[in-house]
Amino acid sequence: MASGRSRHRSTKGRRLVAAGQILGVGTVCFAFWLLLDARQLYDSAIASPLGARRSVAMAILRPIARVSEALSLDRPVRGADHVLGRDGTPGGSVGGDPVPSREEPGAGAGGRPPARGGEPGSTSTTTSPPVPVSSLVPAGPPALAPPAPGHVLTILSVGDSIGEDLGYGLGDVLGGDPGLRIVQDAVGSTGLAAIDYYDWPAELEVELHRYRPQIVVVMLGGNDAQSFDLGARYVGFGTALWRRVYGARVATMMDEATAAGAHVLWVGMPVMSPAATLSDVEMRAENSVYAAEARVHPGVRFMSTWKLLASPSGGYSEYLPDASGDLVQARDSDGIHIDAPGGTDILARAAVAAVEQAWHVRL
Amino acid sequence: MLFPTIDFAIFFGVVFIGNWLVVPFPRAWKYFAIAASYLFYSWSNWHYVFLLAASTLCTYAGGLRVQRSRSARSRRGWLVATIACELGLLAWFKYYGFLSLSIDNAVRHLGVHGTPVPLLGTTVFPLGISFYTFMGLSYVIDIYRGTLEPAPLLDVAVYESFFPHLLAGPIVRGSELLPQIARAGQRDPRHIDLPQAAYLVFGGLFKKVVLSSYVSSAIVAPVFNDPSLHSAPEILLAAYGYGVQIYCDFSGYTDIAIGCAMLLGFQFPQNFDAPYTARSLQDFWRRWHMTLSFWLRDYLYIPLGGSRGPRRRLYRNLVITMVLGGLWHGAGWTFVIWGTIHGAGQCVGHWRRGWRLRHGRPAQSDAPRDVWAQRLVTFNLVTFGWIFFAANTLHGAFTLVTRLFTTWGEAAPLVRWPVVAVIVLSLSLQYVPKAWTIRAQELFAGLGTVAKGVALGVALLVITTLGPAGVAPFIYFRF
Repeated sequence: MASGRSRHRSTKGRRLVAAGQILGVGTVCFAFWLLLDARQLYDSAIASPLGARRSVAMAILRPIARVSEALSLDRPVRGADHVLGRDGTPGGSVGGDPVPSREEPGAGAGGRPPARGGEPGSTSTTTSPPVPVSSLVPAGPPALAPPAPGHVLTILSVGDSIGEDLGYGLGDVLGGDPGLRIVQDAVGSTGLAAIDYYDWPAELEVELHRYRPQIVVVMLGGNDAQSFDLGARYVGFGTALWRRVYGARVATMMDEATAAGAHVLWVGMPVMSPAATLSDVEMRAENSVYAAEARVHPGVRFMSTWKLLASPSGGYSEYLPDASGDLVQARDSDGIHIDAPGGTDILARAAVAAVEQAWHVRL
Repeated sequence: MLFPTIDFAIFFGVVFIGNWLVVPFPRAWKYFAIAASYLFYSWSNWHYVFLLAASTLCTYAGGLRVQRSRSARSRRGWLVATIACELGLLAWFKYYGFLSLSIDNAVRHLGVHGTPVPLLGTTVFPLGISFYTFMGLSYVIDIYRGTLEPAPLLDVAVYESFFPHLLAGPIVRGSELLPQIARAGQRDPRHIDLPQAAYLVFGGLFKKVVLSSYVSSAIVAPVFNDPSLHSAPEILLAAYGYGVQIYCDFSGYTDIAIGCAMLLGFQFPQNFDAPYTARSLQDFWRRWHMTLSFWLRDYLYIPLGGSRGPRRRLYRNLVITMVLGGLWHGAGWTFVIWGTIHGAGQCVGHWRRGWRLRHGRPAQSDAPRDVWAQRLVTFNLVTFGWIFFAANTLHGAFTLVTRLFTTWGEAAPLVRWPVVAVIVLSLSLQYVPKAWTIRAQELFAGLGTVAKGVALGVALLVITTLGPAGVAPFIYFRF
C-alpha cells in the first residue's frame, strides 16, 4: 500500500511541469506542424478574404511552405490527401502569388456588362409563387419532359451552406416523387470568390458529368462578399473589376450547365439580419451580377428571394408566413441561413414554382 | 471564437503567457482574465458582452441582497427576483420567439388578424447564455441555502465570464470555481499537469474535428435533413451516428475547455464519463453532461421533493425534471418527447429495481451477459431518444421512426463501410480502460520537451489532415 502511494506520488511529480516548459512544448508542436502542414495552411491563407490578416499569414507561411516542399516534408500530408481522395482541391506551387485556376477577365478585359444596382425584377409574394424570374432569353437547352416513373428527372442542387438549406428543402418538397431524383451537392464554406479554396466551376463540371441533371439549382454567395486577388491584381469587392471577374465565374457555371443540356435556376441571396455578418448592400451587389448573367444566358433563370424572405415592410424577419398563412421560423438565429423546415419549405416551394413557370413542366 | 481555430490558438498562447506572468498580482490577474474572456466572447458578436455584463451584475447584486436580507421573507423575495431576472433574460432570447409565434398563430386562427408580436425575429441568439445563466442561478441559490458566501464583484465577473467554460460549459458551481479564483495568486506555475491537459485538448480536438465532422457529413445531416428520402438502414445508422456526433462534439468541446482551464491552473468538473457504457438511463445521466444533470438534480429535482414521499411523486418529479431538461435545449415538442422518453425510462428503471429488491434479488444483475444486455438496451433507448432530439420537426421525427420500421427493403447508398467503421470505432473508444489512458499520459510525461512537442505536433497533423476544411459550430452552442 505504502509503495503504491509513493509510486503514485513520484509519477504525479513527473507529470507536473512548469509553464515555461509548456511554452517550449507548444512551440515545438506548432513548429513541427507548420513545417509538415505548411502547404495546406498556405492554401487556406490564399483562400481567406483579402486584408492584413491574409497578407501576414501568407508572408509567414510562404517561406515555410517553400522549405517544406524543398525538403519533401509535405509528403505525408499529400499522401494522406491522396488516400482520402482530396487531391483535387487547391494545387499549384508555392513559388509566387496564387493564380486562379480558370480563365479570368483582367482589368479592361472583356466580360459581360454588369447590371445596374438594385434588386432585379422581383415581383414575388411571401407565400405562393408566381416567383420573380428574369426571362428575357427564350432559347436554351431542350424542353423539359415531365417527370414520370419511366423518365426520371434529375435536379442537381449546388451552392454554399445556404444552398444546402435550399437543397434539403427541395428534398423535402419533392422527395416522395419516384419520377424525380434530387441530388443535394451544395458544400458549406464555398463560393465563387475564393476558387483557390473550392473551385465551383471545376466541381460543377464533374457533377454534371456524374449526374447528368436536367435542372441545376444554384444558390451561393454567402461567402463571396469579399475581395480577392487575381494574379497580381487586387480585386476589391463591389468594384467594376470585381463585377466583371465575379460575373465571369458565374457565367462559366451557367455555360457549363447549359452546355451539358441542363436548365439552370440561379437563386438569389436573401435579405440579411442587421445583426448578421453579411449586409444587404453586399447581397444586392451579388444578386445584380447573378441576374445580369442570367439575362444573357439562354436556359438560365434568376429567382430573387428578396421579397420572398422579407417582412411585409421589406426588412429582415426571422418569422414569415408559410403556404397556409401560419407564421413559421424561416431564418436561423444567425440572421443568415434558412431555418428548416419553415424557411427551407418556403424557399424550396418558390424554387419549384419558378422552375415550373420558366420551363412549363409540372414537378 | 471557436476552439479549433488558429485564432483561438494564438489567443490562448497570449493568454497562457499573460496568465502566468501576472500570477503574483491576483487583482491584476482578475482584470486580465475578465478582459481576455470578454474579448473571447465578443469575437463573433460584440453586442452581447453587455448581456454578459448585465447577467454578472444581476448575479452579484442578487447574491448580495439575499445574504444581507434580515428576514426569511425578504431573502426569498430577493432570490425569486434574481431568478426571475436571470431566467427572464434567458427566456427572452430562447423562448420568446416560440411563445410569440404560437400565440400569434392561435390568435390568427381565432379570426383576429394583425401583428401582435412585437420585436419578433430581431435578435440573434447570444452564445453561451444558457450556461452562464445556470452558473449565475446556482451562485445565488447556494447563497440562499447558506452553502456559499457572496464573492466580490471582480470574482463573480471572472466566475461567470471565464472563457474556457463560457460558451458551452461545463456548468461550474460557485463552490467549485470561486475558491480557485480567490486563491488565483497561489497557483504554482511549476506544477501544471501537462499530460492530462494535452490528452484532454488533443483528444477533444480529434473527437470534434475528425469524428464528429465526418459522421455528421457522411450520414447524419443528409438523413435528418431529408427524413422522407432515406431507407431504414440509413436511418438506423444515422441515429447511431447522431449519438456519436453529439457525444464527440459536446464532450470534445468540454474536454478542450477543461484542458485549457487546467493549463491556466484551474480545475473544472468532469462533464462526461463514457456515457454509452451506461447500464440504465439513470446511470446514463450520471455520465452524460454531468454538470447539467447534477444541476437539475440539485436545483430542480430535489426542491420538487426528489425521491421523498410516495412512489408516484418520485415518478412525477423524474418526469418533470427530464421534460424541463428537454425544454432547456429549446422550445419544441421534439425536446418535450425526448425529455419524456428519458423521464419515463427512468421511472421504469426505478420501478424495476424496486420490484427486484422486493423479490429478494439485487437491484441490478451483475452477470456479464446481463451487464451487456443492460448496456445494449440503454444505448438503444438513448439512440431512440436522439431521433427526436436531432429531428428538425416533430413530423420529421415521426417520419424517421415510421420509415425505420417500414423501409428495410429499400436501397441504402449512404450505408458504407467507412461510416460504419468510424461509428463502431467511436463507440468502442468508450470501453477503453481508464488505466490505458493514464498509462499513455505517463509515457508522454516521461518524454523530453522536444519529444513531447513532436508527439503533439504529430497529433495536430493527424487531426488537421483527417478533418474537413473549416469547422462547424458546436452543437451545444445553440442551447
